[in-house]
Amino acid sequence: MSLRATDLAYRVPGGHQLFTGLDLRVEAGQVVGLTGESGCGKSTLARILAGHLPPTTGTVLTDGYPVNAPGPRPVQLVQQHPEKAVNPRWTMRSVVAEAHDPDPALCERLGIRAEWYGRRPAELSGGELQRFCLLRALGPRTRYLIADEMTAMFDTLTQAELFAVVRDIVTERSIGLLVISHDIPLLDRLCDEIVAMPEQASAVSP
Amino acid sequence: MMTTPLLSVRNLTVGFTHYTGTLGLRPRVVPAVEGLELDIDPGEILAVIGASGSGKSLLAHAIVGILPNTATVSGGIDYDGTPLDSARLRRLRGREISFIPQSVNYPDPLMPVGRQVRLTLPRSRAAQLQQALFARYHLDEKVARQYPHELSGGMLRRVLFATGVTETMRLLIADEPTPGLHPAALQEVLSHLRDLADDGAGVLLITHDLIAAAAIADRVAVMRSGRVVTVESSSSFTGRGETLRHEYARRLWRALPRHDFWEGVAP
Repeated sequence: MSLRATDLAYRVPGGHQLFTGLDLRVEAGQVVGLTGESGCGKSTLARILAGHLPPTTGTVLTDGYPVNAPGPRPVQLVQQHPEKAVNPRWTMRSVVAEAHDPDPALCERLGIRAEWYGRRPAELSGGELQRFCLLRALGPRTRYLIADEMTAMFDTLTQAELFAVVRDIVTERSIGLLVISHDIPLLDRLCDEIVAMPEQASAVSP
Repeated sequence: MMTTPLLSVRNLTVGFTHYTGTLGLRPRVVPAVEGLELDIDPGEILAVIGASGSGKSLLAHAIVGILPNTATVSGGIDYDGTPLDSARLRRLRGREISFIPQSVNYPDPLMPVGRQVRLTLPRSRAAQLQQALFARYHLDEKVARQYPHELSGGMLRRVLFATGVTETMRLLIADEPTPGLHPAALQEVLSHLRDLADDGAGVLLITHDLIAAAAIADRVAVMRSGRVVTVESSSSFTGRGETLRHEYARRLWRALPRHDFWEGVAP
């Protein structure tokens, strides 16, 4: 059981080659850290792994199936800017309902208060909004979670709280977790294994 | 002789009007920032840290005068010893007072980034200065022809620096300029900020990066729920933070991954 990317390449449409020949594997229940220079394609890789973006060549398999198979996506992505990941006109209730019926116990663990459901994204702080993005991502069918600079915009206490909850949930449910960050001490704390993106792509001739 | 602070924020309160009650007809002013007092001297970096939603960006927006119309502001801001009213602010903004915004969504999505940088420069030397700026921030010349969506978060941060920092600048308000930067680029941005201060500029650095704040700032203001709860010396952010005066500052410091991280937070 693993999230497995084989020989991935991505070329920016009309632009340069971002990466080639990239292999990555996250086992169920494993926590893998990913780091690398800004602009090297970490967030693009995250979107490919989550099935939001097709790679130029290469394959992504989750537990043996293509990542974009019909049905709820087994790979979920939580990004750096939660305000860009939700519809600004929807209430938080609709934002979550789009994905799944939230388990009240999970809401409580994520520190989501009942009165926040009726609010719209602009009426919540970034940290509160990111808790909803985590709730939405941690549906019953989620097998792998990608946290792409999930706490880069937050203070250290919020960061520690969010990762403490995420660690407990992925351990219990044997979810594979890929943490993308520039913060090496953070990755050291969280991860079983840390991988670096291959050298900056601008070195690769287009 | 007492030196005049470059920037002096006096009892600044920013509130937003919410409409409540039947049919939403009852206005109620909710304070988002209350009674802020801060000074920045020339040559000084003052870091502002604190929880998200504690009003750090509102402070920056109040100084550069870009709060939304729905905000009510009271209190005063002095620049160079005289009140910074809107006419004076318009004159100084972009010349003596520079702003680097938090969101990488600020650049115009429909204009190549090189052109956006050239717009901020004296027209006769714009092309030449833009190239020099891109070289300074390690942005490839081909990046100048690209649009914001084609660049990574870290590259856009550096573009924002190139648009914000001018030769005549005396006060820089930098709202979270570092997320998304890899360690080498981060070091570079930080030492650049320090150089600007050492050349005499005052810098207000809003950040979540305590390590960075401790390394380059002179003083660190800690915000919580719209108030400055303490201003600490940056040298106190060391060890287990025993010399930090305020308990909240100590908790933030100890929640770093290299210290207690999640051991310090209740599950």
